[in-house]
Amino acid sequence: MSAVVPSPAVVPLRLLGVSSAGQLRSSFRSAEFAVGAMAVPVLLYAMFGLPRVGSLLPAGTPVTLAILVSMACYGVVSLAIFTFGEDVAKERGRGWPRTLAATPFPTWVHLAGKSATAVLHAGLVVVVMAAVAAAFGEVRLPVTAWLSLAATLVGGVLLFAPLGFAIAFLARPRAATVIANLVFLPLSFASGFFFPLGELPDVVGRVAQWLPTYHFGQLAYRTVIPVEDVELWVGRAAQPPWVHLVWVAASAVVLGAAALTAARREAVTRRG
Amino acid sequence: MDVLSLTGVHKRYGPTTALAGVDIAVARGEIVALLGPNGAGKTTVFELLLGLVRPSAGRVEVLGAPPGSHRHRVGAMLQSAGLPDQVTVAELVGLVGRAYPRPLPVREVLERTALADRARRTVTALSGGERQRLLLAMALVGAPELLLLDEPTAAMDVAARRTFWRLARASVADGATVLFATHDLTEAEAVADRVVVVAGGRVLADAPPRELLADGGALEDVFLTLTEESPAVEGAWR
Repeated sequence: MSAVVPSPAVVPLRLLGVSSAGQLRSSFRSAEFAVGAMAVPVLLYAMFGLPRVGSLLPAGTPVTLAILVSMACYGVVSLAIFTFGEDVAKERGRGWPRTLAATPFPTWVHLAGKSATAVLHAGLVVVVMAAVAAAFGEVRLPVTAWLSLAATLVGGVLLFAPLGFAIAFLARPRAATVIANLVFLPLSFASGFFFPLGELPDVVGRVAQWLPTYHFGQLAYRTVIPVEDVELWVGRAAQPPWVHLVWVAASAVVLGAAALTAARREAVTRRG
Repeated sequence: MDVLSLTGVHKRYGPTTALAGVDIAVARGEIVALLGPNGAGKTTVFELLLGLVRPSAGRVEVLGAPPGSHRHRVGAMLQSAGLPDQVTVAELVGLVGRAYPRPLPVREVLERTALADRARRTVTALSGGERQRLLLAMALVGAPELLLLDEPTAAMDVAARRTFWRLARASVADGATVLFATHDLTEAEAVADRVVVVAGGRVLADAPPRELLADGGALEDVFLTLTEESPAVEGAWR
């Protein structure tokens, strides 16, 4: 009887599943990850969002919903930057990609597994935050609205993955954590994730319009909040959603190209 | 037929010459030791054979093809290889094993490498010797035809070294070929069918240990004589 050998197309898919499951398990063994990436957005929402229960924007949007979207955007972008930036840089520093390259395990499957894991993490963050908002923040949305918000937020992990990869491959491994924080905190603040842009100095709002995270936030707000309430919350006139989408997608392409160039340069240097 | 060969291989990193015309061939079923002082070019030989770097000149073949073409038939253990930290021993061996067409059962590999009682420990909780055995387990799990081991016993105590070489010999008995680098001349003499001495990016000797010791001296004396007499290659790592 001949041995059953999986077809070439099946093998990477099987490896992707194994890699994703392994990375998911290992992520939950890290206390920093569980607290930093998973718990902090929920805690921030509890601190800043839940005390505003009962407050409504003029068109009737609960403030707790606007803050939910802001904090979920913060959580998702944080996951993307730290999963793809800090983690990949640390792996580079430890030499894991070099070890892996000496085995038949494809490096791209490892990175794809990391992406799949980040999507699962993002889904978990969004579900937990939505549950807290529904249970304690008096946020009520139709199922379709919840789903489209979740899809937008989870998609954000993949759209900001290139930013993380760019940090991972452009920064020295030991400097990646500092650089990730230096990039992430100002981006989150200036994009209105911590405080509504309408409550911040006008200059912050003007800067925000050049940031992909701001445009990602706008996309997320617009999935569940009427445009007039978004304008009030953000303190700026609304733009069509496609403008925001183009900004986010274009920045992903540019940052992805930068990450790819840096990764190739490293491979060429290594190969001589 | 040679399982691996380097023919007239040069490797330069900018102004530095790592290898300056190296010829090495290893036949099926051999255990070959690569000896040389620090910076002799031993690690570069392994990186070339694994396809991690490309030669500046010359030809490298592994299992009759360019390096990297038959990675699923090769098991490798790199010097100071990096590992992810929050992964258990069993998970890591299983993960690498899945990439091979006919992997050995993880339990069997862990028992062979004396890691069965460490299966559920994460990499961060392992000692230096245990890490080395884990790297060996990762190299063995695919039941490879060729084992490339760069200073595999560097962090091991005497007992662990004995276990290690017992395992390597068992793999050879199963049909594998082994090329390993070491600084331990006693180990090379005891284990290898053939010793290749490299220094200054060149092969200085390539013979069975008993031939190198034909004048009755110790391998250490032969090694020191060879490496001290070798002319330095311009810009070579010495």
